[in-house]
Amino acid sequence: MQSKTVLFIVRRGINALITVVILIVFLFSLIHIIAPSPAAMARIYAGSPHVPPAELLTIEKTYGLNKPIYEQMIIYMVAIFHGNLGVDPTYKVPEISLIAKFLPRTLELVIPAIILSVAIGIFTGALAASKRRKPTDHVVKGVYLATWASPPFLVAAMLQLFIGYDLGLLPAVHMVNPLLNTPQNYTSFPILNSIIARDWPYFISLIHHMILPVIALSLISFGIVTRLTRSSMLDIMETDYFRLSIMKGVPRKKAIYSVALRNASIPLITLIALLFAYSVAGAVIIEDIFDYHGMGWFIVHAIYTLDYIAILDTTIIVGLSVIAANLIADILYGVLDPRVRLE
Amino acid sequence: MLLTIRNLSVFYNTVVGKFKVIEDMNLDLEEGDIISLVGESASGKSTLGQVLTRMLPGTGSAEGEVIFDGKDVLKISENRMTEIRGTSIFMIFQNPLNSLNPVKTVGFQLIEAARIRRERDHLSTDEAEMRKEAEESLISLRLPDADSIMRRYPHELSGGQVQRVVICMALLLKPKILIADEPTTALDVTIQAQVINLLRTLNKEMKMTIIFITHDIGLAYVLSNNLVVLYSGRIMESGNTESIIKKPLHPYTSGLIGSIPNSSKTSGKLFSIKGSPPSYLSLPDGCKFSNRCQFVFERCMQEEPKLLDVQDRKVKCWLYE
Amino acid sequence: MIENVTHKQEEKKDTQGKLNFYLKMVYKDKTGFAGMIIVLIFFGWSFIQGMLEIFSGMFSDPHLGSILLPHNPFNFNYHISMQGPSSTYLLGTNAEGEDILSRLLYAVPRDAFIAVLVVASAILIGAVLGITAGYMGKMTDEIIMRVTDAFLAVPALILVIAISVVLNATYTGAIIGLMVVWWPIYTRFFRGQTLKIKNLDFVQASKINNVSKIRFFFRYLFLNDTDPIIAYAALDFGNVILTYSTLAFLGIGLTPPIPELGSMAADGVGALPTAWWWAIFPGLAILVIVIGFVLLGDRLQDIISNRINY
Repeated sequence: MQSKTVLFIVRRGINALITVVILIVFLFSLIHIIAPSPAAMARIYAGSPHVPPAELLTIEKTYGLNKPIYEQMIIYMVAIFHGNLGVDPTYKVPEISLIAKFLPRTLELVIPAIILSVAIGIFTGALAASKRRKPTDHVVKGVYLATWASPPFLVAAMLQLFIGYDLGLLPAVHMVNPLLNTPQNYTSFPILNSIIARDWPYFISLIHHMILPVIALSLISFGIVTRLTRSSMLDIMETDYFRLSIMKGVPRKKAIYSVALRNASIPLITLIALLFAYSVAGAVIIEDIFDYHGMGWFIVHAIYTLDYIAILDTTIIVGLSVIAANLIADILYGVLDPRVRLE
Repeated sequence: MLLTIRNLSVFYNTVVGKFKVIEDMNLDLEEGDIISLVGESASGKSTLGQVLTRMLPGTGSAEGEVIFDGKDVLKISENRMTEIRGTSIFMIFQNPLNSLNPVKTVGFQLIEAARIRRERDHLSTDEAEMRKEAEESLISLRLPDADSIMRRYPHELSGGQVQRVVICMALLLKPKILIADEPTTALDVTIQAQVINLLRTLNKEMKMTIIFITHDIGLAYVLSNNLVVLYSGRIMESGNTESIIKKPLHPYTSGLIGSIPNSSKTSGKLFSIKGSPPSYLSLPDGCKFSNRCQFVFERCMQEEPKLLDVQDRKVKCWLYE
Repeated sequence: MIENVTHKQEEKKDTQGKLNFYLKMVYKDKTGFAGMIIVLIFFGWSFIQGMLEIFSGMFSDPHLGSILLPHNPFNFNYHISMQGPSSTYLLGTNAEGEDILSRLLYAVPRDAFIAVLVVASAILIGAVLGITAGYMGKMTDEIIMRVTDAFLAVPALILVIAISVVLNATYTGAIIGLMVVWWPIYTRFFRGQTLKIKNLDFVQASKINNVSKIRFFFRYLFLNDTDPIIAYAALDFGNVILTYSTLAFLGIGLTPPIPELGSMAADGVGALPTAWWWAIFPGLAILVIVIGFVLLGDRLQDIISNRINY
């Protein structure tokens, strides 16, 4: 049993690694298709089409752009696994330092948003399943279908408009009150920094500014949780063991919560990776609208400046984190539910 | 009378419309009885079990009266029904592999049953005491390794073991009526015999009334003293098991009996009723068995027969008018 | 020969019967029916208006494109800049004084075109790769599925952004990006279906008839096992429209002055507290269109999985 579990984890790990390699090869080829010559590549690395030929040559040398393509690919991949993602042509600093700055801020949005959407999703899903075919069920379905069908910018704009501007309850833009002094950068996470520095006004301002984007993110993604919770609860409610526990004389309500909901929540673990992917993608729009300077905002700026390097690197980083999240979810599921057949 | 069924009809709503799966059924059940409901699949026999425990799927609905203990099961509130389930009427299902919650230990699920019985009897619900009771019940069902079984998860047990665990629940709940819905279909023949014996013991020693639902008229003969033959949701023949098997009156019953493999028969040929049961969507007019019956005549196809009193039993067939 | 003909006729009859059955089932459910109506209006309008836009380009007659619209969508008029909804301008005007409703109606055909193009290409690519993987098995299967996994690993939006930005964030770039990213789910689906039918008796038997097997798989899967795909595709049109509008919101794939639902909303967000209609109405328009597809797809999925009346 134990060795089987280890084998399962190793297998999943290898698969994840292959996936990463294929992804990198794809992105590498993508940029080489649009810039087939070393000089064209050098212009991309320089971040400008108007570069003196001498400078292009030095760039070609430093990045090894005149080497054979497969050699370049290996160099590229080795560099990525060493955390070397190249220098950003716009900011003129290593790409990895920019990502290290912006990614934690996005995580500060995405993680609470995932927790919130799981909470909303389980609650509404359980409610709908227990009141199946009754008005409550239809209302829940209507709400999650509507949020599902909403473009993320509509959700964000509505929240901004009603809660931020009309009611004035919460700040509608920015990550923190710009008038406050930023505490020292102990970690890359602004919230942790403010806690370590005991800078409470800054901390409260951060939280204040976080609320709307977090709600927006969880609104666009909770529907998947609702849907899965509802359908797996309904599936369980049709099993013999659920009917047997009612047969035993367990009150229906109790059986729904202690058997159906409990058992339905195990497969939800696999959803977390999906939610993560969903929220990171959603963060691109949400951060743009709320002017929240995280990874999404960084991506949007890279789009405006056509910064290929930044776009490809962020794609790799997002891909890596989603693959990692998937791997963790897979392993957790395999460990938590003894019935999952280990291939 | 422990259970009285009067004019019971059951309907299902489906995509293609509403149809009747049980039509106008009347049935009496006496305390201590073992009655078998026999029929092919989709004859309404499992539906009957679900009606008695009011566990029809959401698309189903029932009309008529099902009087248990002076109360109409179809009309009482859900809370009252919950009190009846388990300790008064209990049902075990066909597929043992799905009958237990896969993420809870066997012990947990048995103790849950013991607790329900004790709470309703206002007895102590001491954890250790209930565990002991569950273990003893398991041992009495010839599961000697009770302590280890209690700690295991359902997927670590065999089908036969799980079915005995479910019967153990019945032992702990001590219901007045036990409905066994094809409890042996998914089991090996040797284990089948054990389960049948267990049911008989429950009936004898605990005075449990048993409704045995099966498609196997041979098993019904071994176990029960009364027999009801169902076809397309209608009672075709009912009465004493012994006399029905010895001398079936309804052509359908004879067909069922004829299809039992019997090594002593010289011909060695297995008889089977030709055709398959009609879909509820396209039931024949008149007698529902008419399209498969070898004695069919004009009237059968025009008019549905009534349930007639013939000799010691009831038969729904024009041959006996 | 005769047998063959009757067989074909039966097949045709069968497909028709199925279609009628679905229509009836969708019709029976209020929300599914509403979804179908929205989808029909969306495609109907897109076809008519799209044709007019094409003709207006062909005959270089700008009037033709706005003949059915309440106002000229390209009419700059700073006197009526940022007017709220009124009886003349039902959904208000933007900073340039252009009528938002007219611009919405003008923009819609493009979304329909992209949705159909992307979903159709995804089904085609998915069928080719999925059936090949499922049929060949072994290494081929392994390679195709690992590539599919790699594409599924990155959130679709992020990958589309990467591809279309590398292609200079043009309209073609956006479409290519969507097409490159959209196929993996269909590949998985077709592979699963292929594996399921690979071992059926009559598939094995078709060897004798010397029918090319791959061809057989395509025929069989396209004729008999398309139901789940149809249901998923109905939902997926909505997903494509959502993703495309998000791209447009980010400024990818624009061809000014042609309006785009997403970019209209993006322009409006800047004017949010005051001219709320500018951002909200394009967003709502997308919501209504996508909800049409979601309701229809959801209903179709219910029908296929026999969850009717649940």
